Amino acid sequence: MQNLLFGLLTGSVLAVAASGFALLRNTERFLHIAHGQFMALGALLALVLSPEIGAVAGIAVAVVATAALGVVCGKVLFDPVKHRGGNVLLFTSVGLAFVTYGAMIAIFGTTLRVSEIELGRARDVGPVSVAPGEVVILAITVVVVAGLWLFLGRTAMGRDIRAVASNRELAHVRGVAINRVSTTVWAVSSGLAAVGGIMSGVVGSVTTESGWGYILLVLAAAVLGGIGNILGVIGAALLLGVVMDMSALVIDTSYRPVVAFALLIAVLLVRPQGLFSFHARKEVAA
Amino acid sequence: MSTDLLEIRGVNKSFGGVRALREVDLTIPIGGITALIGPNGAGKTTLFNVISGFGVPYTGSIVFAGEDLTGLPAHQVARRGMVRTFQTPVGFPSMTVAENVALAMTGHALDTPWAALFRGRADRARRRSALAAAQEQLERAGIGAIADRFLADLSPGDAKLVEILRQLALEPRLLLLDEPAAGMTVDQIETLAVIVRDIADSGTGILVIDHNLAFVLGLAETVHVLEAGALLASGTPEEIGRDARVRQTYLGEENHVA
Amino acid sequence: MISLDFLVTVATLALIYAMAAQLLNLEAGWGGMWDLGIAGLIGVGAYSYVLLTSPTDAFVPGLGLAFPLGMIGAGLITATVAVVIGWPALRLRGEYFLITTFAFAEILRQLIVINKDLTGGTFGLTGIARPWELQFTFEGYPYVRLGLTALLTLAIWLVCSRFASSAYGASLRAARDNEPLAMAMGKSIKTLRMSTYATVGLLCGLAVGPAYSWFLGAIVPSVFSANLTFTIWAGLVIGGLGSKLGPILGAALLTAVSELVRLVEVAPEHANLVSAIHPLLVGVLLIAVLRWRPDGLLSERGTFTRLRGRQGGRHAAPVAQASTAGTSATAARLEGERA
Repeated sequence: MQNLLFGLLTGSVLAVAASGFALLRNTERFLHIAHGQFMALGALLALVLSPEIGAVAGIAVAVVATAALGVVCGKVLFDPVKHRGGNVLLFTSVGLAFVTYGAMIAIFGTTLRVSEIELGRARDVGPVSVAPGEVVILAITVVVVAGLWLFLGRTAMGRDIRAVASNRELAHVRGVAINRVSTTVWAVSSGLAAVGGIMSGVVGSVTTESGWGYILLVLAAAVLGGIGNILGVIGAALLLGVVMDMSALVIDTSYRPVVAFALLIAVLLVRPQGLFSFHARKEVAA
Repeated sequence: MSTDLLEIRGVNKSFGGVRALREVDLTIPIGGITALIGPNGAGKTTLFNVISGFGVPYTGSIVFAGEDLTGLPAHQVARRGMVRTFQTPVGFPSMTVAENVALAMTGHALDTPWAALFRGRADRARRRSALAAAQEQLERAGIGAIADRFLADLSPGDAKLVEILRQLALEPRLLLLDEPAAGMTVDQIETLAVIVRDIADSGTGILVIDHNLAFVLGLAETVHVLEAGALLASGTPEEIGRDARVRQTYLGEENHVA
Repeated sequence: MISLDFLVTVATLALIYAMAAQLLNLEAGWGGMWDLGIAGLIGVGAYSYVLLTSPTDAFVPGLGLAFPLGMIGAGLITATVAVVIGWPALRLRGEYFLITTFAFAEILRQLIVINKDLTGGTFGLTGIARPWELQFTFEGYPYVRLGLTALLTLAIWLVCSRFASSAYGASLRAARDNEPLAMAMGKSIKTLRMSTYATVGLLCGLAVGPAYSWFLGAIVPSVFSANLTFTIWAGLVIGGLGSKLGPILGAALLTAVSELVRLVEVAPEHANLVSAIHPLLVGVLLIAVLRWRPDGLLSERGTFTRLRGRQGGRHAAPVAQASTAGTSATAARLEGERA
């Protein structure tokens, strides 16, 4: 049971980050490898700023700064090569990942950092023991996911984003302001990356190396969830988190990531389009 | 004799709720020219795909020259002598026309890294002779001049011709032509008809689908008509031309059977 | 000033990356298989080699084989691993193949970390013996190592060249260009791709892994990370995906640029900046090339036009004629999002 809670925690952090990744993939049509680095960036910014301006302000600034960076990169780096297709965009993102990684090393150094934010003393609640900080994290996840769902489902911009995600050309013809959608998506996606990274930093630790590990799990969640379905990706992220931590009951904890990827591969073999995807099997499997 | 027949028995196929093929029963001689016609959405392309291994029938069987090919992957079907062309003659864009055709002539035995490394001499010789043979084929068809061009630079007529020549170079027993006349001018279609007849005369069977009824009815010895996934009628071009149900089906279609 | 020793080191590393980039070019450029797990294969190759050749009484014991046997053994082991990975992975296309290979590489790395009795875990394997090391002086050995690495790179070059001109190479590229058509011509896509992936595995184990371990002197799991995969990819993309010389040029350029920066002397408190330069440069170069020269510095068209001319027969048509198509084959493929 306790492991289930840990799993949900891990999964929540992943879900927040992966939803941003999926949002970007659905509208801009490429795998943003640098997303992992943005997560680390958000975490490091918050960690470094918090002692100066307080935890809340530090987090806020980190999220906004990362979101802004995302928007700038979208306009300056990705829009000009948009017409060249997903693979060029993917490798541009790889380039950006390297640049961000290098910049972080230069600015923050390579030391391991632990967040000042304490999770608090764990208290027994029924069959599990929970720390107040953990509850906060779960709560934040729920708020973020609900917020995202409302945003995409109920607002005008959300409707526009969904239109672009389902058929960009048609949306353009119908008069949707593609540029504004793009900017919004970049901002939201990068902001979510920062939030996910910060949460991950609070639960564990962060170094400049963390970004490479993050993107692996985010990719796994995104693929497991399937194309075109952000809720699916969130669900997949939670599933991955739970499976990883529950597996600790039967096998060594160091196998956690192996379990996650083994699950991913197993699912892809049986259902190549992902767990919750709308796409037909034919388009994906050989 | 079954060795000269392509037998399609009881083939059913559906796509997400749409019944594309319903209990299709057909026998096609491996020799001469057979045509498969029908309005849009009749299932001609689906049947083509199923026959050539690009789709698996839900039920039914495909027996080619006495051998059951049902469910075999496309490359196995091709190796057994039934070869198809594609409607859009994209070909292999990174290779020249000659190389495209030569690919059909190098065979499959040397297609491994092992052979490339340890049977280098044989491989080089084979490639050289294939390229020469391809060049010959192209010249015989009158397009030797474009041998070193890339497919993207060709006129649609030439590209179509290359498509057919390349697949023909595989020396199939039955050649499946997928809308060969699409997008061609009247003159080009005439030339195409001559070429198709030559191919049939030299012993390769032809199964052709096309929307251009004049072209198809002028060439074929036997015609099968599909409608809504089921076989509507079969017969000689004259019989089909007179068939009331067929005329009904084509009423409103662009190509009228005069 | 730049010392000769330094140049020798940079050259050796550049050649190792060049080997890896050529193999990646074989599977991704000509084969159309966008493999994000090549660092995993190199890691398996390196670890297999070291474990096969380490003395039996070392801290982490090995089999004590002679280095040629070790290389062959590592090659076979890595080829087997490639087959095991390839069998499920090649059933997927596009981003799914990408991610599966990425996942497998990470699994391999974790397995190496976990099995610390076998592999030394996160501390890795140290004190790697290099071929003929004891027969030469400490100052002289790097030249021998450079020579050995150059020989291996040449061997891979020759192998890839042979592949480029062979029927197998043509079939592989055909499968990449137009998979349904290749199938309709009787080509077994599965066999073509699997044999390619296994060959890449074999050569990673036979050449790249051992050469890298001779260079590093000690191997740890964190070396064989996504960072390494992306660096090799960057070198390949910059040099030109699909061209024969491109991977070598790109890898050499990338290595030279990022290593030469180390020459800049800085105070210890700026050490961070120096380690930051390598990824910064790789990233900037990659972004710049993709923006202004997405084909890379050398193109696939160029390679095969030259090969055509050499194969005799008629003179190949000038590449300029392709202008109506707009972009060359490589850019088209990068745009095409093929598997």
